[in-house]
Amino acid sequence: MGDWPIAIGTSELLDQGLNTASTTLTSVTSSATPNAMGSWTQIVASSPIDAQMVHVMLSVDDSTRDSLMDLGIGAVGAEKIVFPKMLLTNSNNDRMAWSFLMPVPVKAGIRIVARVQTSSISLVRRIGLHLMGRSFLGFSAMGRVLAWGADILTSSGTLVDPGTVANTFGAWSELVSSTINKVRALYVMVGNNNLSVRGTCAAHLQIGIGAAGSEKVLIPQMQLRSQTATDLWTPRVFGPFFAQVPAGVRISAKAQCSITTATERLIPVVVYGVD
Amino acid sequence: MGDWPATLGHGKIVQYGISPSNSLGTSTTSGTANAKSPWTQLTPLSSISAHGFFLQILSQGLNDNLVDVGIGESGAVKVIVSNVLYTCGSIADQLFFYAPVSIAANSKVWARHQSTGSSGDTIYVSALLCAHGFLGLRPVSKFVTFGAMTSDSGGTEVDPGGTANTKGAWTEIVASIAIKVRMLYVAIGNRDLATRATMSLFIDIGIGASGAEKVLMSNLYCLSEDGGDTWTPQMFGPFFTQVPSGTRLSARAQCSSATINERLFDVVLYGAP
Repeated sequence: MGDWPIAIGTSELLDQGLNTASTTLTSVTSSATPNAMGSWTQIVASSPIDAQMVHVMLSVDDSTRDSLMDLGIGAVGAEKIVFPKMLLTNSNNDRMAWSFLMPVPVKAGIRIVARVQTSSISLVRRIGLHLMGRSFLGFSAMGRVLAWGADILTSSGTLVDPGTVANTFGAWSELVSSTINKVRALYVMVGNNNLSVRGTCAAHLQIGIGAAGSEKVLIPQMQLRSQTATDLWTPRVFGPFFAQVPAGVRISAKAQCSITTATERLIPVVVYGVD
Repeated sequence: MGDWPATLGHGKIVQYGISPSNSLGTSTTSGTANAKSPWTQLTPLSSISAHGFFLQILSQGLNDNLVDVGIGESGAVKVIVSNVLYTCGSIADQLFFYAPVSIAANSKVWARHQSTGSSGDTIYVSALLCAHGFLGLRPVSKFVTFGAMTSDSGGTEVDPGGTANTKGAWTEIVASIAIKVRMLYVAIGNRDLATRATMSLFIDIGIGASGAEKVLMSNLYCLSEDGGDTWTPQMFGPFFTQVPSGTRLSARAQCSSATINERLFDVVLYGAP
């Protein structure tokens, strides 16, 4: 593998923000105020390469709380958010790790940072990155990531209720009334509503577009699962879906669940659009 | 969103294999341990020409599983994605990943699996098929699997070694890949272990001859929790990295624990030509 593949591909993969002495990622601590963003924590002082996309690794390994994490770039005091309000979740104080590909470029020499808010104080979430170098032709780089449905008052997502009839779709829940710009890719992240007890159940989640009462399914059934051992909806991230959504579109979600137990059937949802 | 976006992107996304009556996917049930089950059809006929699909797999049992996806007529199914490693400890961390493999319209899509479990082990499989954009993403015809062990329905065992937080020796996944690949996925298996303490891994994937390995992907991060006893995540990628044919692929890791058995994990690699 050369440094500059001619066609589409990545030239190199560089890990950043890892603590090899303890085999963990960079710790990011939430603020001393519930549901308020903490301070920026540096992951990388200076990106060593022009990255065309970033592989994001996340873990939660302490108290059960939904959390919203911002990934940003920029000098101290001038940080800009590139991926807002990533929904991180766990249950039963269990440790979980997951990862996803973020098709957003980061130039060489850029400082990369993260911050987090939780509904409890001073909780640790962790993040590490792989910077993916450019090929000669490269990908069509994407720009901003926008979050739709994040609830900063609870550090979670919009609650989607499958309703009181098992295995039957509930009503649509609006995530955003009108998107402000066209996006080319979507991610869906799922939280746990700070629940430490959730029965064994399955759910199907759909994302729709269109006005209230005339929604059309954009992303059909995504499979969710919870078990009594971990009390947690899994998986926690879906995508990227390279779906193009124009500006001015209303986005909503609905679900069906195999159980009707109040609270346990609820699914916090945040959708992310990449322009 | 129309059916034919002018530039790169999906058109329609259509689900197959969904079972609305229980909010699950299509069940496939194994017969003999470590032998493939019969093919189960996910959809009568695909209604769209897909350039790729998201595969969704879940189960409830403590088992390693290798899952195939195929297309074709009954009795003549051709494998397009082989031996996807899906593994459970005390929990099922559901697998969801994108396979950029094309499926023509009016195809029959099938799944089957093998498991370390005895007869009757069931998993649930469904897929979200994604149609082309006008220019489209360049699809591939099939995935190539490296390191899957059909004898135990797992992958190639990698040992981080007896010193915590220190990289162990390289383990060969495949001596020589037969084709050039331009995209790789890394699957992590749990080796059928029902008890695994809280610990973490950094996993490297390397290329090159024995004794001269070079790191291709560094420090992929996995966690295990004593409550769940399962390495998470179970799949990394896609990594758009180009590897020439004839290349040897290997893996190594460091673990925060040196506990024998519990520090071990399985690796399977998937390459898209």
